[in-house]
Amino acid sequence: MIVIARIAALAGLALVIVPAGLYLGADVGKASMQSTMLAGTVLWFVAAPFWNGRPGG
Amino acid sequence: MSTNDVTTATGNDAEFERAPVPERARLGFRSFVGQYAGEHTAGTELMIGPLFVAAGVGAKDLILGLLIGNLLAVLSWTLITAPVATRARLTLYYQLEKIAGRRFVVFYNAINGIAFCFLAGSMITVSATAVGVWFDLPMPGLNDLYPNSAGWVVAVLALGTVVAYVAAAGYRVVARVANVAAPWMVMVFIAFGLVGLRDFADATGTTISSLGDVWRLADSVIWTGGDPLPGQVKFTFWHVMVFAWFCNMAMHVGMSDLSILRFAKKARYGLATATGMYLGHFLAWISASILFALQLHRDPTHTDVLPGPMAAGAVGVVGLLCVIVAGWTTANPTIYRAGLAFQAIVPTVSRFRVTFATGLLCAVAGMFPAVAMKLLGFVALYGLVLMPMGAVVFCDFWLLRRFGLQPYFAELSGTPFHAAPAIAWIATVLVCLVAVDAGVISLYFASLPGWFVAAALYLAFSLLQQRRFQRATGDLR
Repeated sequence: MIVIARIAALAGLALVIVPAGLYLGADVGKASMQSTMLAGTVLWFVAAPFWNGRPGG
Repeated sequence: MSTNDVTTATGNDAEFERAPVPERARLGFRSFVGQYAGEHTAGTELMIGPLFVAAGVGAKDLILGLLIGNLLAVLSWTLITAPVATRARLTLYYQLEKIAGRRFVVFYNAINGIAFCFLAGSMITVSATAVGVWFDLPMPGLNDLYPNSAGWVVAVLALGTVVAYVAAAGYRVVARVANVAAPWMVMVFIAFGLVGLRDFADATGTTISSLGDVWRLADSVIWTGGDPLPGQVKFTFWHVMVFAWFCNMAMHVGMSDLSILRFAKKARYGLATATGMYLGHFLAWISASILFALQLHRDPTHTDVLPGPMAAGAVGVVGLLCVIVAGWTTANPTIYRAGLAFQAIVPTVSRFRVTFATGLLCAVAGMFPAVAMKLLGFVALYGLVLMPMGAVVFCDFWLLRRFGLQPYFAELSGTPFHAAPAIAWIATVLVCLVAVDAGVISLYFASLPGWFVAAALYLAFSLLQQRRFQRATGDLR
C-alpha cells in the first residue's frame, strides 16, 4: 500500500512541476498546464498522507 | 521567513521541556532536512520576493546576495546554534530560565508572543489576498497602512477566526496537513518562477533557449536595479545579503532553534537548514519576485503586492490554493506558539482560550496591511529585538567560565530575575534603535554590531553582579 501511495504521490508532484517546465519551453499552453497541475495537486493530497503524513515523516 | 515547530519534527510534544533530550529521542539528518525545507517555504515568501523588486534590486545583487546571505545563515545555525543545542540539549526557554530566571522568561515570552502575533497576522494577510480573488474584493496597496474596504476586513476576520479556532482546537491536524503540503508547496513555488519566466519572455518578445538567455532577461527586464518604488528603501547587494542572513536571526543567532536542534544527533546536522534556505529563501523568493516584476512590466502603475492575484495569474486555482495553504499552515504554529508564550503570563486561563484570543489578535493585526507590506522592515526589527538573548546564551555557554564566572547564574543563585541578561537585552535594543533612528546605521544592518554590544554588556554586567554576589555570600557554591 505504501509503495503504491509513494508512486502515486511522486506522480502527483511530477504533474505539478513538469507542466510548468514544459510551459517554460513553450511546449504546452497555459490552460492545459493549469489543469494538469490541478490534477497533480489532487493526486498528491490523496496519496501523500498514506506515505509521509506520519509525524516526523 | 519561517516557523518552527519541534512537535511536528519529533513527535515528542511536551517531552523534555525541562530536561536534556536523552539519546533514545535523538534524530537523524533526514528529519531536519524535511523539517527545515517545509518551514521556510511559507506564505511570507510570497511577500518577501516581490518586496525585493519594489526595493529596486539588481539581478547580480539579488542572486549573489541570496547565495552568500543564505550560506551565512546556514553557517550560523551550524556553528552557533547547533553546537550549543547538541551539548546542552535544552529548549531556549529552559536555558534562559537557568541563565536569567523565571520572571525574566515570562517577560521575554511576552515580547516573543507579540512578535509572533504580527508575523502570523501577515500570514493571514497573505492568505486573505487569495480569498479576495475568489470574492473579487478590493485589496490593499503597497503603501496602505489601514484596511481599505469592509470586504477586506470581513475576509481577514473570517479567515483569521477559522485559523485561530483550528490553532486552538485542532493544531495537530494542521501540523499534519503542513507536513503533507510542504513538498507540494515547494513544487508550486518553483512553478511560479518557471511560468513567470515564460510569461516574461512572451511579454518582451525574448527567446529563451539557454541559461544565458535567462540571465539576459533577468538582468535587463526583471531585476533592473533602478530606483525603488515610492516609499521603499533601495536595496543593494549588501542589503540582500544581510537580509537573507538575518531574516531568521531569531532562530539561529537568537537561538530559538535550540528547541529543534537539541534533538539532532550531531551538531553538523545544522547543515540541514540549507534545504530551507535554498528552496524557500532562494528559489521561492526569486519565483515570487519574478511574478511581481512581470506585473510591474505589464502595468508600471500596478504596484500592489498581492500574492493571491499574482499566483492565480501564473498557475490558476493551484496558485490560489498554494497561497491559502502556505499562509494558513505557517500561521497556525505561529499562533500556537504565541498562545503558549502568553499562557506563561496567565497560567490559570486554559490554553484553548489563550490561543483562540491570540489568534483573533493576529487576525486584527492581519487586517492592517502595514505589517505585510513592510515585511522586510518588520522581519529585520523582529530579529533585532530577539537577537540579544542569543548573544547572552552564547556567552553564558562558551565564555563565562573563561572569565572565571558561573554560567546558569539564576539557577545557581536561586534568583527569579537576573539583571545582567535583562540589561544586556534592553540596552542593546535601545542602542540599536536609537542608532537606526539617528541614521547612524540602517535597520537591516544594526543586528550585526548589536550582537557584539549584547555580548559585551552581558559579560560586563555578569562580572559586576557575580563579584558582588560573591562578596555578599562568600562564594557561589
